[in-house]
Amino acid sequence: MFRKIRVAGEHETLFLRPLILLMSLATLAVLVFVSFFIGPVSIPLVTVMAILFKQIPVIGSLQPDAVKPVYFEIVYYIREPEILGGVVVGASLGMGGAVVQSIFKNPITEPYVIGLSSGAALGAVGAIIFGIAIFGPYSVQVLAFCFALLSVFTVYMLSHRNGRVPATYLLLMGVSISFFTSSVVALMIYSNIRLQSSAFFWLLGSLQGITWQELLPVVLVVLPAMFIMSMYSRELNAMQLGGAYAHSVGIKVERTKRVLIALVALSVSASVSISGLIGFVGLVMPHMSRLIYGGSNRYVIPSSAILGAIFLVLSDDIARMAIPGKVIPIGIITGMIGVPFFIYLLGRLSSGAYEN
Amino acid sequence: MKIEVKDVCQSTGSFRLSNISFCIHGGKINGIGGKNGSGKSTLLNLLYGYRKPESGSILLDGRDIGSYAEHELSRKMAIVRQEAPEPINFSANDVISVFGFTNGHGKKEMKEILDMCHIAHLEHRDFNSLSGGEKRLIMIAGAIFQDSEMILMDEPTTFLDVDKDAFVQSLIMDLKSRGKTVVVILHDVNLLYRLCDNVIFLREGKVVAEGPPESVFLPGTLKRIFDVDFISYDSPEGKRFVSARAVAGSSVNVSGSDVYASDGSRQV
Repeated sequence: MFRKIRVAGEHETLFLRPLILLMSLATLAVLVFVSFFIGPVSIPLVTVMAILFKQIPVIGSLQPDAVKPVYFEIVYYIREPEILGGVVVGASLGMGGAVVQSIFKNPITEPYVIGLSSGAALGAVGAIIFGIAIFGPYSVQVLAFCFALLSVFTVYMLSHRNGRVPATYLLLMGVSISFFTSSVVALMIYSNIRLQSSAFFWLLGSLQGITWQELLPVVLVVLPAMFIMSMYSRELNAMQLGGAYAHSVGIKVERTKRVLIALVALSVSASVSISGLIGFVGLVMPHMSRLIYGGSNRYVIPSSAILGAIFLVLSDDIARMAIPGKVIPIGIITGMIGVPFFIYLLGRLSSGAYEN
Repeated sequence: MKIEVKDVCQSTGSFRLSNISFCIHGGKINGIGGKNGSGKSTLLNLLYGYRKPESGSILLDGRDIGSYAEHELSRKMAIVRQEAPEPINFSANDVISVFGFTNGHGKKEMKEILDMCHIAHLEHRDFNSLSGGEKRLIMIAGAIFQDSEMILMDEPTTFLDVDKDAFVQSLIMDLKSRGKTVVVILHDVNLLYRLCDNVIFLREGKVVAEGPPESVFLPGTLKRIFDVDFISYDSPEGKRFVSARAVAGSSVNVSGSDVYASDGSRQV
C-alpha cells in the first residue's frame, strides 16, 4: 500500500495527498475514542459515550446524570487528560521535529537539539532533587518549562555571528550546552540516591497522571504555536534550499528563523513539562510523513503533528496495557516499538531520496 | 534596471574586496571574470543583498539595495548559486515551486518553464538523486520561474556536458532577448567574450577592467588578470583566446608572427 502512495508526484492526483491527510486525522479520532476503553477498569461503551456527550456545551446539559461517579472519575479525570495530553504532546513533538529539520536542513535533528530537553531536565530534576515547591504541586512542570526556554535562549544568544544565527552554529551550540546541562543533571541525580527513581521516571517520560489543571495551560500555549507554525510551510520549504536562496525568493530569513525557533521552544517546552522527555517522536514522525507525502512541508508539517499524536496515544495505550497494575514510562515504549517499525518502513519505502 | 557599485569594501576571512566600483547594465548580459579566489562569488553575495558591504554603496535603480524589503528584492532579482542545495526528500517540482514565493505563479507557468528548460521528465524525480547538470538546470528553471527583472548566476556552465553547456548558453541569450538583465560569473574567458555585452574582471579583490569585451580583451589586460600571455585566433564560432602556455610547442595557428617558446614566453 505504502509503495503506491509514496512520494509526491509519481502517483499523485489532485486529491490524493489531502485525502490521506484526512484519513490519518480520522484514524487519530478513532484511536482517541478507542483509548478511552483501555485500562485496568473496563467501562461500557454507553457510559463512555454518555460522559463524552455530557461535555458538549449546551446540548450536553440536556442529558440526565445516570453515570456511575466512579466511571465518571476514571474517564473524565484520569483517561481523558492523559489521552488528550498524548495528542497535544505527540503533535507538538512531531511538528517541532519537522520545523527544526527544515530550519537546519538536517534530517537527523529533533526539537531537543536546540538545548530544549536538557534545559527541561535541569528544571524538573532540580525541582525533584531539591524539593523546590515555589509553584506548589506544579513546580516540576513550571521549572521544566522555564529552564527549557532559558536553555534555548542561551543557545540562541551564544550562536550569534555577525548579526546572524547560522544554523550550523546553532546546532553545535545546542549540542554543547545540552552536554554541559546533562552533566549537571547527572551530578544532581548521582548525589541523591533516594530520589533517583523519580528523576529517572521524569527523564524517561510518561503521560500517566496528567491532570486537567496541568493540561489546559499547555494546550493554550501549544495550539496557537502549532497553528502559527503550520502557516510557515512555504518559508520552511525555501529554507531547505539554504539561507541565500530563501533570501533571494523573498523571505526575511533571520526573522523567520527566530520566530520559528521561539514557537518550537514554546510548544515543545510546554509539552515536555507535563510529559517528561519523550524521544523518537520529533526525530522520526517528519520522516514517516516525507516517506508518504514527499518532502514539501505543506503536507509534512500537519502530517508530522497527526502522526506524532497517533504514535504517542498508541504508545500510551501499550504502556497502560503491557503490565497490569504497573506504570511503564512511555519513552521505553516509543523506542521499543517505534524504532523497529521505522527501520522496516525505511527499508521498504526509500528509493533514491535517502540513499545519497 | 541598473546596479551601481560604488567603492565597496568587504572582508571574508583573510580575503578582502577593496574599493570595488562598476555598473551592471539593464537588459544586457553582464559577465564577471577573474582567477579563482579573485572575489567573484563574494561580490555576487553583495549584489543580491544577502550580505551588506562593510563600506561603500550598492544602488539598485538609484536606491540603496539595503533599503529594499526581501519581497521587493525578489521581484528585482533571482539567483542561481554554484553549489546545489540538498533539501530533504524534495522532488524537482518542490524545488522549483519555492521560487514562486512572491509572484503567485502556478502550475501553468511551471509547465511552460519545465518545457522551456527541457526538464519536464524530471519534474517528479527526487532532487538529490539527480546528476549535477540536471540539478543545475532545475535551479536555473527555478530562477526563471521567479520571473524577476534580473538573474544572477554563479558559474552556470561549470561541470556541464557539451549539450547542456550549449543549452544553458542559449537560455542566457533567450533571457536577454526577453528583456531580462543577466549577471553571470564565468571562469571561461571565451564564454565571457562571446556571451557578454559587458565584462568586469577582478583580481585579488579589485576591479582591473570593465567594459564591452572588445575593449577589455586586450593582451596586456588579460596578462594583468591571469598572469599568462593569451593568444587570440579565429575559429568558426568567432575569435577565441587561449593561454600561450597551453599551446606552447603545438601547431595552433596563432595570431600575427609571434612565436612561443616551450615555457609559454613570447619570442620576438
